[in-house]
Amino acid sequence: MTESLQEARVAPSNDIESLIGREYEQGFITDIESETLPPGIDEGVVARVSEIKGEPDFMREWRLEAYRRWREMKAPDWAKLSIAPIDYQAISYYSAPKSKEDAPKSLDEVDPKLLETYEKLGIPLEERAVLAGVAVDAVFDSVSVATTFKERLASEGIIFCSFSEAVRNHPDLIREYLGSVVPRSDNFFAALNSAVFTDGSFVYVPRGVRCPMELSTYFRINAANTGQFERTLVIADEGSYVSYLEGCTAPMRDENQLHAAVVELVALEGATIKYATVQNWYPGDENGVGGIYNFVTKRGDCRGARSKISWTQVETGSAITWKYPSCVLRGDDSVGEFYSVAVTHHHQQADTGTKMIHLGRNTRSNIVSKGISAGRSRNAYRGLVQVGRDAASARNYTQCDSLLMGDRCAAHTFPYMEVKNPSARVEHEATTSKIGEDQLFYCMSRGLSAEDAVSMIVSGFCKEVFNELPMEFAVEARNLLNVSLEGAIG
Amino acid sequence: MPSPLLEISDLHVAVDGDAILKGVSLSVQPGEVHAVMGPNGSGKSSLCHVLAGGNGYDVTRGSVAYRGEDLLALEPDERAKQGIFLAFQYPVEIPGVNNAYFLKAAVNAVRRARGDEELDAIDFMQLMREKVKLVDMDEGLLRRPLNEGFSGGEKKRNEILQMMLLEPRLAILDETDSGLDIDALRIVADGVNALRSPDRAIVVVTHHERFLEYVVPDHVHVLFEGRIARSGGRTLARELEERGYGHLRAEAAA
Amino acid sequence: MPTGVEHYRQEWSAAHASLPGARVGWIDRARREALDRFCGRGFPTPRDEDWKYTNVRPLERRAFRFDPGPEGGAEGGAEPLPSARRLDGLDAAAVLVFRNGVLASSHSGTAGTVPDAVRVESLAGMLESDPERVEPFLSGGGGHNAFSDLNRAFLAGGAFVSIGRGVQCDAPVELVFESVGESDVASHPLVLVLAEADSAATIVEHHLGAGAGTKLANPFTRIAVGERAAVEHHLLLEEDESTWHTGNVEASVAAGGRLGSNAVQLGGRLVRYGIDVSLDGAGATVILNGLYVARGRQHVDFHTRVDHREPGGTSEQVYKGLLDGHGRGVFNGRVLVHLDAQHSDASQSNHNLLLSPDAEIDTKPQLEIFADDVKCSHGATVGQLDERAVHYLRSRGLGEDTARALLTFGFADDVLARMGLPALRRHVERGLAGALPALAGLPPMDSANGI
Repeated sequence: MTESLQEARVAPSNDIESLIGREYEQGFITDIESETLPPGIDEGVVARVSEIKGEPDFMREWRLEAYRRWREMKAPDWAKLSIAPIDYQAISYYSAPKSKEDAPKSLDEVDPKLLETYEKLGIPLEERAVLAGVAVDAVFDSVSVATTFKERLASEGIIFCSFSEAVRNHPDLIREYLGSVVPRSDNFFAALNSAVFTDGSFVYVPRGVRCPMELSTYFRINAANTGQFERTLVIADEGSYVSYLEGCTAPMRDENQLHAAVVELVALEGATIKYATVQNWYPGDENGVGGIYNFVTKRGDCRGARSKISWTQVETGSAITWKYPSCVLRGDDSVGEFYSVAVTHHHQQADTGTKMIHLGRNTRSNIVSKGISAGRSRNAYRGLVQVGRDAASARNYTQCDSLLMGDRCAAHTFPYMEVKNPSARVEHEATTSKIGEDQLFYCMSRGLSAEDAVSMIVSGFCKEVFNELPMEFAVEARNLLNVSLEGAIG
Repeated sequence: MPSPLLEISDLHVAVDGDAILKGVSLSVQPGEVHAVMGPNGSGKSSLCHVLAGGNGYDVTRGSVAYRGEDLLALEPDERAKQGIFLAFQYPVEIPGVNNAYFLKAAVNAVRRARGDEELDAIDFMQLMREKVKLVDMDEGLLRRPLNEGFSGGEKKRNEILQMMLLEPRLAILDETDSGLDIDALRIVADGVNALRSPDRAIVVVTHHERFLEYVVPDHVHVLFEGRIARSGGRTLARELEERGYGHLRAEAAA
Repeated sequence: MPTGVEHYRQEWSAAHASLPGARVGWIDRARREALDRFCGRGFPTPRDEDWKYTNVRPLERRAFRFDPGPEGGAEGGAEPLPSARRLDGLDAAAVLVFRNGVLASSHSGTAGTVPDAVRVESLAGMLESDPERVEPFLSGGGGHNAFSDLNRAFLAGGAFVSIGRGVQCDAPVELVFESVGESDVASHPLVLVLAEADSAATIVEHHLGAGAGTKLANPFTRIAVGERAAVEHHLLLEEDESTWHTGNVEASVAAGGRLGSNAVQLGGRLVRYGIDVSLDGAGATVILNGLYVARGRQHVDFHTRVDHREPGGTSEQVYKGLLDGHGRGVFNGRVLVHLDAQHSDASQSNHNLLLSPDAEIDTKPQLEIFADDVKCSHGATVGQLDERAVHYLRSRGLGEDTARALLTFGFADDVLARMGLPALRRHVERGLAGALPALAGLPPMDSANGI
């Protein structure tokens, strides 16, 4: 597995291979670097994952405890998603990098449909190869660029590395913060992730430091290796600022069915974390065959006064999405934000939203959710706004709009508001409507094609959310929307 | 010279830290009508709200005396009880609160403060019907929730109706004429003129000279960038109508 | 003595053979099936999504006794509740008074003004004399939750109201349900309202209670609105602080029909009110208005569900809550627009005011849309009075307390005004003014003149 980009320069071939994906082989292969565990999970497997990764004892124990909790839990069914039963004993929890021979040797060997999509999205040429999993050295330039960024970050005292590296080099920070926002037994998928997560990213921004760049350019390249059970931990120390973008606008080449990631954010006094996700995993085909199950637990803890955590997500991929990026507003005057665009088409199902837990005084939260359903898909917003007894003068505003395209899709809105403080003000507004025929007509009477008119109206509908994304991603996200909704209006 | 009813001295006001009024001084004697004109954003509405005790206006310097007392120390309802009335530019819509019920409560609160006897339902209805006719307002509006769903013109008439019922000593009209057609303008003006008396004063804030043809002012002031840039007689209003506010900018720059 | 499900099974075994209509096949079957459903799933727990915020464990632990008693014999017991608590000036066409679910005929009667085709009578009588008439409405359905099952299992009587085709019954029909007397008495009355095509009627259901004993009032109301018919249903819950109320309303509206549902809750220890409306025909309309007030240690839970099943339906909901003391309010409003129910128009709003630091509200509006050409919206707020409005009132001379009292009152009166029944509005206005400290500063009111 990728440990760091420094190593990647030393041993490039291993690293690039690991970007590609996995194969499911039976039986042990003795070479640790390419070991694949047989399918199935028990305490032995969990301990072995930890051993392979060369983790300290505390991590092994942490994983084992998570596994024991998970064993006692049941998969949640409250979202009423149609999920084919998952056989957790049929999954391999650690697998070797896919061998170089199986990967496409050049872009010529890549599925032309995939390349067409990259073209539409405007993905730079050199990145297309990485995303398509081409096992050649063509991507080296990008990696070196990324490394340059990394040196720049290090000079500011910012730690940005793979999770495994952080476990090795910064065990104190891991010990203090891992699981402090999403406890091991938080939910079924978080517990499973805690037991068997393979890698992910770690960020620490020291006191008073403003991270000089979006932590995204790097990550676009790094993203492919994070795997099935990804773990991300971002810590913003007092008065610091960091903006982080995960995921990638292009469809990832990935055969894993189940993704159960956990993201934990910690903002100390006066710190700000902006976390943006563009998710476009394989959604399955027009008939609902295949596709990723994306069951993600993301939570931020505004631990200090005046801290702020802002989630932005553009979700267009996966067969099933189940995620609720949340904020625990513990510090006085802390702020939580959630901006979301979720698009579903064909047979996709999305159940997504947020939780804003107001505990401190004068805490504020803002929720903007835009759902677009087409085809036979199902798109639900589910959100909780909770105001605790002591959260004097808490404020929440939620705006939740759904757009329907086609008479066989569904859009649902399930907000929960629980208020225990009389000085709180909580407002929720939601609308559901068809894409406006008068708007379409108006645009077309000015010469736009139906497709352009739809795309213009839809991006207008999502504007508030796109405004929260870094510029270049906003453009790609807009393109992504068009690609996802192709053929949604006849 | 009698003592002034209202004495504004070097008033500085900030909203959210931004200076809006930067040293306004104005003296209003009983019996007078003052017009305050000025371009958008010059601070006219802020001046009105400071006098009525609105929230969010920080007086950073200066003073306002009303009948010789510190006006700024009073709560909004105390000001009303002492005879200050602000006709709002944008009257607030209040669902569920019956207009007539509210009017009766307000009239009796003010009467109590003056030492007058409170009106019972029957006397109040009689008084209200009388005044409603004067402002040519649909009586049905009295049974509706306060200002809710009223048209722009209906809201303004309702403000004038309230003014007539509360019989203030100092009436401040914040762009009451804006958005009214010519007939409604006349009705509102008649209502204001009916209130004119030697012991009352009226401050009319307006954009348009035309309203001042109906409500003829004794003094005209031009508020510009938070200060009173010019004061004069009613001819000043005509001059502004002809020349606009542009030349004030030149004067301010000079 | 057993409690929980077992207690009710025993009660049922002892009682069912002597219940009205026991020898009628479908009635007996409906009771048995309901009992089996109830025993099968037991009392709900906070693990059930629909009962997340309302815990009925304390109710489950008691053994409420069901005693249908003979009809007409109830007046031999306690004195009737003081008439002052009844709605003033209603001018009802007919009145039926029930004591613990049993018709008290000496307090019931019909005014001379009732049209011929309007029937207002004892349901127990119907079960014996004309069961076929009510079979389509009572043989199935009713299985919303444990309490509607319990009601059906112990179906013993209540009111039957029918309005013939094309008949307009202008004066309201008043149904009064009193829960009185000793501890642990349960009543499970059922109201069946059948409005045939093109008819119109107003039904007022008034639930009262008195006495220190813990009581369970578990009514069920079934309303069938025919094509182009119009029914206004008013439900006023004013039980005392020792009564648990777990009533449900189930309504269906045929093409072009219109139902107005108006629910006001002031009393009760724990109140769980559920209404399910099914818009079964094209262009059917339902207007729902509600007000709930929780104070002291009251717990109030309003659950609404509207199903748009056919094209062109309209639903409009306005629910408001005032929460004071240690009161806790729950609102759960669900709107479903089914496949092919195109051109549906659904709106829902829920607004709540918390008046004390210990009060609490949990609100959960839900939209579930399976058709695309629709207009649906919902809004929910929890908050305080609009400070701009407070200032406006104060600038007219009202003191701060008065201004706030007036706005709090206006918050509630806004929805009462939508209900369109002056007698009910005045009654509730009076009830509110006396009940909430926040309204102490309210200016004196002359409701006859509306000032």
